[in-house]
Amino acid sequence: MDHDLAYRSLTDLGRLLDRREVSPVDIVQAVLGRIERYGGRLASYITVCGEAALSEARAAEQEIARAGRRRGRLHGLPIAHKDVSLTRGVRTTAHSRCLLEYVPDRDATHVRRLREGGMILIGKTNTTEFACGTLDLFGVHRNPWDLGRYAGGSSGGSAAALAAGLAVAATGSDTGGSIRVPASFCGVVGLKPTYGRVSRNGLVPLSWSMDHVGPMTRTVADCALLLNAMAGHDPVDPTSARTPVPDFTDGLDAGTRGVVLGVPRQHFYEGLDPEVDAALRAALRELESLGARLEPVDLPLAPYVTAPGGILIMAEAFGLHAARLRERAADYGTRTRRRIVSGGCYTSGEYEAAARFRVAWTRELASVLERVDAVVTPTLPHPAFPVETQLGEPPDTSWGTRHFNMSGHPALTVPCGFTAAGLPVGMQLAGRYFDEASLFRIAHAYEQATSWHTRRPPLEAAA
Amino acid sequence: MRPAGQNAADEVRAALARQGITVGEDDLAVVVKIVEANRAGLERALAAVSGEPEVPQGFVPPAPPGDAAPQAG
Repeated sequence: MDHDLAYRSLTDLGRLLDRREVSPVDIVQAVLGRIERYGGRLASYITVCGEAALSEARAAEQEIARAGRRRGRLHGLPIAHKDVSLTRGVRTTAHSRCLLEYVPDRDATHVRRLREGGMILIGKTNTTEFACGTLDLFGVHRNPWDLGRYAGGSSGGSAAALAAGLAVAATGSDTGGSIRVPASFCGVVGLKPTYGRVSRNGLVPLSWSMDHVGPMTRTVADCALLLNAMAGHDPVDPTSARTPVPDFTDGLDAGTRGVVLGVPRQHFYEGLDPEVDAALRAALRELESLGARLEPVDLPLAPYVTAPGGILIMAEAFGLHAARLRERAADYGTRTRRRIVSGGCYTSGEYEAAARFRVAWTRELASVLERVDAVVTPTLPHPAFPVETQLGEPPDTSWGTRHFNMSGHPALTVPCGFTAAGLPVGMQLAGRYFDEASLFRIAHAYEQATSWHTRRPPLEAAA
Repeated sequence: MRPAGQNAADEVRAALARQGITVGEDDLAVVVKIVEANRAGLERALAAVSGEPEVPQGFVPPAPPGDAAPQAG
């Protein structure tokens, strides 16, 4: 069994499939082999679809042989979905006792679109309960770069699986940073698209105005490829945009010459871990050397986003969970219950005030993005912290990410370095509405000029 | 605004009770901490906004100019 196959990019694997050098069964077996070997220690999966995935892979193999070609660029490739995405016939728990036996009879729209593109469901990845709280039932998803450290929340199972070669592509959801934070902690690529770009139909919701669904991969090109299939108007999601979807892989190689990147003066570069600071400064220099122009920008409201964002998320979450909390409060994990219950304590006036702040922040950011192509920030001010910290009093990991859930702008994290202890550091790029293409183009240019994405965690040594 | 004589814990307990939610003492202490921190943060946030904050008109990002798909390159 070729374990290296599980570390190939979607793009590479597609080429190998097209040339019949490997089959979908080979790829699925390689990924399943690594899940069997490392999955237990990493706790990156809640459900593994072993036999079903192999059966789908055999069907894909036969279909490709009959047709003489693949259905599309994702056909025959495996995908892992965060366990908050509804999957027809496959248990969807959201890591909660409340949904422990829930087997949906339909797919979430993004799951259906990827399935129609020919992707094979390999499993459902671990998440904090309802994407916001406890990790009691299926364990803490651990960071492949240091098993004593947290993979990040809430799409940490997807991020850890990618970093460890237990998935070749994954999806996540992001309400305050839940794609970008674990992607940064685990050294992979994650995109929170523009609000409305990807349907949320079939996502176990947390906050209607802040939830996003997005792709998680090991390379920027793969992220673009996955978004191609996930994006687009969905009539059953009233927040879904009618904006046309370009081929996000077009123009990836256009480079960054002439691109203007905003570097915020406030908040994002304050109080950084020295190694994160050094990695970001080096990344900015690299972007400059690639032809981008750096421009300091003012975002004076940036330090104030956390509290209004927290009020909006938890007030909306309480609205969704109130009925269940009345009946089954004890079935919620302690941290989840406390956080969601807090949302029931705000007045409508406070919710409205938070929404007004949101307008002010969004206008401030949008105004800056009229002058620059993207804003560059650290994804987090520190690298991954110990599992014990997560189980005790973890820091606010949405420190630099919630801003773009509040405004709805697209934001992507890409690896930009490692600490001396071998922990990944992520760089965040946030761009104009529906301009994910520019983020991919800038991140791809940076990625191709560096080698961070080629590093592998030392799992074999830890085995 | 909190009625005179009511402390934060009483207020939180009462707000939740009105909605049919009962909380234990351990949960209550943490919930009060979260709510008080966010309220203080919201006050600071509103004070940082220059002028009267605008009323939200819903939350749907605008389509790009001409509703055209943005292109890379």
